Amino acid sequence: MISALAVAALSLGLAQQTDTTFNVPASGSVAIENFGGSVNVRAWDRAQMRVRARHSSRTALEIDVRGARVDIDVSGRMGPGQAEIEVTVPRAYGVRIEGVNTEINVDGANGELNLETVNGNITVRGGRGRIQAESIQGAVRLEDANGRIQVSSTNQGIRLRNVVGDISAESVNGAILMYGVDSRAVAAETVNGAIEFEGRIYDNGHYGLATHNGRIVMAMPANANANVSVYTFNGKLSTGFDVDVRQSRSRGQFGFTLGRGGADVELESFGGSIQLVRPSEIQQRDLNPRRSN
Amino acid sequence: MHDPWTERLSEYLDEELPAAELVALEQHLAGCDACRAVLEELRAVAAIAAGSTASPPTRDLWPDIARRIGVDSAAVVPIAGRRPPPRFSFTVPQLAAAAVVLMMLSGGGVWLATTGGGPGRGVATAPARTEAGNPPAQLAASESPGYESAIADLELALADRRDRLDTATVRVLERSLATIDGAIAEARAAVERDPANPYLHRHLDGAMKKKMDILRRAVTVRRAGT
Repeated sequence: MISALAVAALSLGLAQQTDTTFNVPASGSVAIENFGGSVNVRAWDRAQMRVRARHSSRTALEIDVRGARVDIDVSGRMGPGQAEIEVTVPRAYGVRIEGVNTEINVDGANGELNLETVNGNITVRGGRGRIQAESIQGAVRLEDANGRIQVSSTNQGIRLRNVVGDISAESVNGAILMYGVDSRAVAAETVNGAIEFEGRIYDNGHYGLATHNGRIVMAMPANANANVSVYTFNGKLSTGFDVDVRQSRSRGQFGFTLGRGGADVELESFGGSIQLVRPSEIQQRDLNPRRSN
Repeated sequence: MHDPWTERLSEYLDEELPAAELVALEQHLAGCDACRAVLEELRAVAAIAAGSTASPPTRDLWPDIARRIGVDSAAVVPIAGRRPPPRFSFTVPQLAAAAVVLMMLSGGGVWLATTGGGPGRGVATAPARTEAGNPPAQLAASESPGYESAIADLELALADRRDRLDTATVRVLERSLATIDGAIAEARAAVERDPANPYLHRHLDGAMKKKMDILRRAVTVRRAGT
C-alpha cells in the first residue's frame, strides 16, 4: 500500500530555512535532485528522515513521501533551483542524488548509491550493493563501501579506500588511486593520469589497470599467485622484488608468473612507467586537484 | 514533475530491481501511460542492440602480418569468448542518444561497442589477449569506417548541443576530448611504426572507445529540468 504525503515549502524571504523530520520505514530509498549547491546525506539508526535546507526565496523545495520512497526536488521559479541540503536517513536507505553544479557527500548510508553531478566533487563513506558515482568535473572519493562499484570522473581523479567488491573506475584527466581493496575484479582505466593499486590478489581474480600517459604502481603481496602481463610503449617496467621476466617478441610486452600463477594481472601504460612493489612500500596519498598524476 | 520511476525502468528491464521496488514499479506502471511508453521504447532499443550482429572487422589482418614477420598464423589463438556478454542499460535521458548511437554503429563499431575496447561499465573484465604476446586473430575495430563515422556523428550531436551546456562544462569536455585525441594520435603513430604490435592496436581501440564514451556522455549530460 503506497501512501502519499507531500510537503512543499515555497518561501517568501530572501534566505529560507527548511527543517522537517518525518517517519519513514526503516528501509527504503531517497532520491534527491538539486541543480546547484550541495547535498549532504548522513545516516542514523531511526525510522525517521530529517531534511534541512537553505535556499533562496526563488527556490522551492518539494518533499514527496510515498511509502518507503522519498523524493526531494529543488526547483526555481525562473529556472533551475539550488539549495544547501542536509538529509539524515535511516542507515539502510538507498540514496540517489542528481545534480549539476552540486557537491555531493554521503556518509554512513548502507544501501545502494547512485550519485551523479557535472561540476562538483563526490565524497562517500559507506554504501552496499550497487554503488555508482559519476562526476564530469570533480573528484570522486569512496571509502568503506561493499558492492558492485562503478565510479568515474572525467576531468579529475578517483580515490577508493577500504572497498570490497567488483570495481570499475574510469577517468580521462585524473589519477585512479585504490588502497585497501578486496576485490576479484578490478578494471581501472584513465588516459592522462597515474593508477595505484594496493589490495588483496585473489587466485581467480582479474586485475586490469590501463593508462595512456601515467605511471602505474601495483602492490603485489608476497604470497600472491598471479600471471602478470605488462604492456608499454615508451615506458619501462621496474620491480621491487625478483621476478623471472619473459619478454615477448613485441616491444614493451613482458610477462611473468608469481607463486603458482592464477590471478590475471594486466598492467598497461603507453607512455608511463610500470612499477611493482610490495604493499609496505606503497604510500597512500590523496588526490591532488591541480594535477592529474 | 519529474517521475522518479522512469529512471528505474532500465533496471526493471534488466531484472535488477529489488523485490519491493519491483512490486512498487509494476503497480506504478499499471497507472502511468508515460512510463509504459518509455518502457516500450527501452525494450525496442534493447532489442535493436541484442539483434545487432557482432560483426568482426572488415578483414582479418593477421595472416598478412604473420607472413611479414615469419610467424605461423595458424598458431594464433582466437580471442572470442573472453568477455562476458554485453548488457544494455540506459537511463531515460540516455535513451534518445542510445538509439542514435545504436543506429549509427555499424560493422566494427557495433563489434567494438558490444565486445568492449576497454573495461565495460559495470563489469570489470580482463583485457582480451592471446598466448605469448601474439597479436589477436582479428585486429582493430578502430579500422572500421563505421567507427569513425559514429564518432563523427556524435561530434556533430555535441556541437549541436553545445549552446545548451554551460561554458565550464563545455571547457571540461573539450579538454577531455583533446586529451583523448592526443592519445589517439600517439597510438596511431605508434601503430604505424610497429604495426605488428597487438598491444598498440588494442590501445588504439581503447582510446577510440573512450572518445566515443565521452562524446556519448557529453551528448547526454544533464541540465536541470531536462
